[in-house]
Amino acid sequence: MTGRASEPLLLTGILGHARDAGLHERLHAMEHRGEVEVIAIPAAEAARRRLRALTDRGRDCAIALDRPARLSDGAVLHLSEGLAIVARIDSGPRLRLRPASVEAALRLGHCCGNLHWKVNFAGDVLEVVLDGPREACLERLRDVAAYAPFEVLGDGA
Amino acid sequence: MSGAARIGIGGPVGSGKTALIERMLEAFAADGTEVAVITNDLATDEDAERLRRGGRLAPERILAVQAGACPHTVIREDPTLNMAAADRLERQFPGLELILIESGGDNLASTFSLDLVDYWLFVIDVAGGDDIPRKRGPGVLQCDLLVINKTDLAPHVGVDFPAMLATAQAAREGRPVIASDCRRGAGVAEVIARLRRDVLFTAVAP
Repeated sequence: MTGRASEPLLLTGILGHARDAGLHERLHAMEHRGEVEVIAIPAAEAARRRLRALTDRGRDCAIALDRPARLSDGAVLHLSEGLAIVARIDSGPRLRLRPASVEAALRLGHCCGNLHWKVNFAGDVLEVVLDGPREACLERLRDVAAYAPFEVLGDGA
Repeated sequence: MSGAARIGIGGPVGSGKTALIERMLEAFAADGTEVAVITNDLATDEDAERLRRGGRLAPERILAVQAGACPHTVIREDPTLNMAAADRLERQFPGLELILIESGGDNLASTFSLDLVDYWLFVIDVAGGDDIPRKRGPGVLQCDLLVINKTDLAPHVGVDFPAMLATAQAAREGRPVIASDCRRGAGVAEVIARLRRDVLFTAVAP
């Protein structure tokens, strides 16, 4: 699996989750010994089944998962004597908007869809996954607010 | 290794997507890489037929999807048809290493869903105008690899190619850009080397 030193470490499956009962203690102990490495993956990239990435210690890795597999935060990609590799999915910055009415929600949702923005629905809040500056996103919505009023929420609202 | 890598190829009409695929198929035929192709056209099988006529790949390894609407709808908004076609190819050819999914010609905002592909290229061309990289379209900015094709035409269309390349590199903030002249095959080896490194994870066969 490790190949030559110049080749990437090939990671071909999700072996479990860092929170799994069977893995949690083992990973915890390995972490104390400095044997756990992390691959940070932005949320927007987490749908990939194949990607080349470095761990936080600079180890070159090539991830190649089966089609049904899906990377999630805490996915364990490698586990051997002296080395574990865990995926850390960065949920990234979001702009949280609360439409003022059902009509505003319909219009705001339609607008975000037209702009091909990635959004999550959290109750009555629409979360735009930001792929650029927050100000640029708000600027695009400036005129929309006239016919689809909404409140801009803080991170913890 | 898991199933075949799925690589998207998008870009404006006439930029050279099919020409790039033709050149890549020559190289893959030479080194024994197991490939299949899915083409997406508006309402015909034009690109699939062109590749079949090229004879670099068995005709049954080339599937055509007809979008019937804006090409990006079937590679981004609802890529179900393309996912089903790719699944079918993998079932039919168990040793498949790579599926190339060519978008129909589209605008600069066209992007691929990562539910469909593992990696995607965006192909623009010199004759389309040296202002394309400056316009910072999502296709140019978000693709994994930007290919600027038809470099040979620069003097004929009044384009300062080094300046266009520098603009593209600046817009992409260090992400890869490769110049090509697919008619003559220039740049194609670099594209394939990049795919091997970033998504196929295979060395060239000896």
